[in-house]
Amino acid sequence: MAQVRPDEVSAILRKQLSGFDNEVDVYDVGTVLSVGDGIAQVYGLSKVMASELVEFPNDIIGMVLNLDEDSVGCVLFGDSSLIKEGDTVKRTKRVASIPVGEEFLGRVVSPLGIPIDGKGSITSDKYLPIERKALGVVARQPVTEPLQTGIAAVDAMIPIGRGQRELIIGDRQTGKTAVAIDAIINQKFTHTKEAQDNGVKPVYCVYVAIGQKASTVAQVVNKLTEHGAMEYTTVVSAAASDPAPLQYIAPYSGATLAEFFRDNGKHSLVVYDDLSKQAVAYRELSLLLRRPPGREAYPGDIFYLHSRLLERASKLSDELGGGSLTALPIIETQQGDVSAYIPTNVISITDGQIYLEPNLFNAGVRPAINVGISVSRVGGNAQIKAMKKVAGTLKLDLAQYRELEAFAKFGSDLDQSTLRTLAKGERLVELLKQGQYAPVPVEKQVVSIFAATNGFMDEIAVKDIKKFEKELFEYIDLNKKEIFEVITSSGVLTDDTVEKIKNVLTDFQSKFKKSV
Amino acid sequence: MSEFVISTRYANALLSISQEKNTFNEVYNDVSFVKNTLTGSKELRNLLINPIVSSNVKAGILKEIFDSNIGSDVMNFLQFIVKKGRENILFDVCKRFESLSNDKLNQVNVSISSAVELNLAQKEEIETRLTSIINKKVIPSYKIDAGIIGGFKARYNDTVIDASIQHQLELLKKVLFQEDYLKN
Repeated sequence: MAQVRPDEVSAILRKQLSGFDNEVDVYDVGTVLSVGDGIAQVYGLSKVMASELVEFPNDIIGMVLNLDEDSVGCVLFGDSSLIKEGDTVKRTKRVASIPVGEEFLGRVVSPLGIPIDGKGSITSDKYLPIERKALGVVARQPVTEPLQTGIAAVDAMIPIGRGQRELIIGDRQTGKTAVAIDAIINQKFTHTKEAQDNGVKPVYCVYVAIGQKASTVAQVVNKLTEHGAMEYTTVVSAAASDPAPLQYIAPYSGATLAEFFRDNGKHSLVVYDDLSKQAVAYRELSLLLRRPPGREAYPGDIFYLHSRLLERASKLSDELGGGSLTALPIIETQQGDVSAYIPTNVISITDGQIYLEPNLFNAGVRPAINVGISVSRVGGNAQIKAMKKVAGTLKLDLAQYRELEAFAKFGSDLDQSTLRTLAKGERLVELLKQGQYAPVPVEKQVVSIFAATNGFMDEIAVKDIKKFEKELFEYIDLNKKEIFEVITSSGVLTDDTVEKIKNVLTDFQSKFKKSV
Repeated sequence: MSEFVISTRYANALLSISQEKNTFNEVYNDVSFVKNTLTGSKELRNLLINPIVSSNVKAGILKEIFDSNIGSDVMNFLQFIVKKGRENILFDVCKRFESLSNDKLNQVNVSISSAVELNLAQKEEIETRLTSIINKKVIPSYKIDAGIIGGFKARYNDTVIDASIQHQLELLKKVLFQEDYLKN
């Protein structure tokens, strides 16, 4: 029987283990002075950098946060019970960083870039620090391109532009995550050929789950996969069971992953779900590091924590490739209290907020967006012209409706014009209701809002509005597809198109009335 | 104030006074002597940090132990430290003094561990190589540590130069645990 000669075997071994050739290794060390609650004080490590990663025994990684005169304070990304006093700590000479690249699309990773979806290792040799300085003034340009969320209420009245930071805020169980997930799912159209022909560039998404149940994250991943959205999405997960330091760095890691696309002239969307939990995690480790507590026991730099993260959202100048990073931070309020510390901070940092209300949610208005107090400070410039045109009237009609809403209870005592405003308002509210995971393309939003604001739905019963809308889309798709096409390709509503839409609506209206 | 800052201050004071008086070498040797004594005797260290023992007694004990072995400068310094109630950091002060003096003399303490006793030629070889790497005069101290299996490990300040078999094996383990090897 033929045999492989021993020297051949060792040659192969040597070749395979070629990374293993340095005979003498030089490294810097320190000694653990005390450890507990996920924090270690280390003596030595004299040349260590702030936020450098250090290696503890048992493959536990830590990050240096405090540089004191004779010791350094580290946070641990692993189980602190495996470390004991006197253990040796090694420097890695690497500031906390994460591998980036397109290989991360479709994957679920920890905030240190380690895959946790069981699909094997990710080979990327490009590392970027998780804490990167936000870009300066010269590198940026104003937000001009729309980021369609597929949610009619948002795209019409609270438009989001590429490079914007739009806060999603609301109590628990009001559908905050649903809005963000719908926005991610709706980016699927940007990856189609038609979108690219119309000059819409693809948007890559990062979903950062902070302090959530692992089962919730799994559900989100499943939903994204089901709707084909994982192909262009990375999920960064620091679950509730992960140590506070991991939850603290998760959004920064997510931002770094998204910045990779931005810096390569591509577009990215990152969702931080949610920053209130991150603030709580940061408070925990700040208090353990003995930093002095301030309001609500948060440390003094809690504002900077969020501002430096959200400043990284940007639209690059054309010289730098024109990429963008849009951020959708999520904040959970307690009992609708937006004047708490963290909500006010983040509201003041972002370029507007989408406010979700439990009352609306329970009344069946879903997404439960309170359009009265939700704003978008920069998105208006990014809206496509056709939408801008129809949304103006929509906003006005809804504002009038809200003003008169209180009178609706008086019923028959109202005059004709008030009744008309109320009826229209009810129909508009009904029209803006939308199912989860069912984004509507912008051209369809334009047509249906046009129909509602121009009185084509006034005679339809409120309960039939959604049916009317659905059948209208089918009708136009079958008979007058060019209307949708011209809106998508040109983005404007010419008089000619308006005329066409009106004709179609009149036709359809009469047919619909007969069928009901 | 942290003990580090305090001990640095005392050590600096002693260093500058010894330079003023031109007795640096003497003081250096005396402090090393005190330090070695403290390293050797846990009892003495415990006594110094014990708050129940009064400072008079401590001063007396220190005098009795060191009087015949060290010069008046360091002896006075010891008495001064006890008087100031800082005898609990005496050990730290000695260590700081040594490292500050080493910086000044451009030399460095290196602790070298090996699995077996090294012969003289090997020691010399290691010392000359280390001197050329660190660019400072090397003051070696040798230790036997069977745990490193083979090779040697040299540590100065916070830096380790590791040529031990143990470390090689750790690295090998890491490489082998990489997924690519596990798959094949």
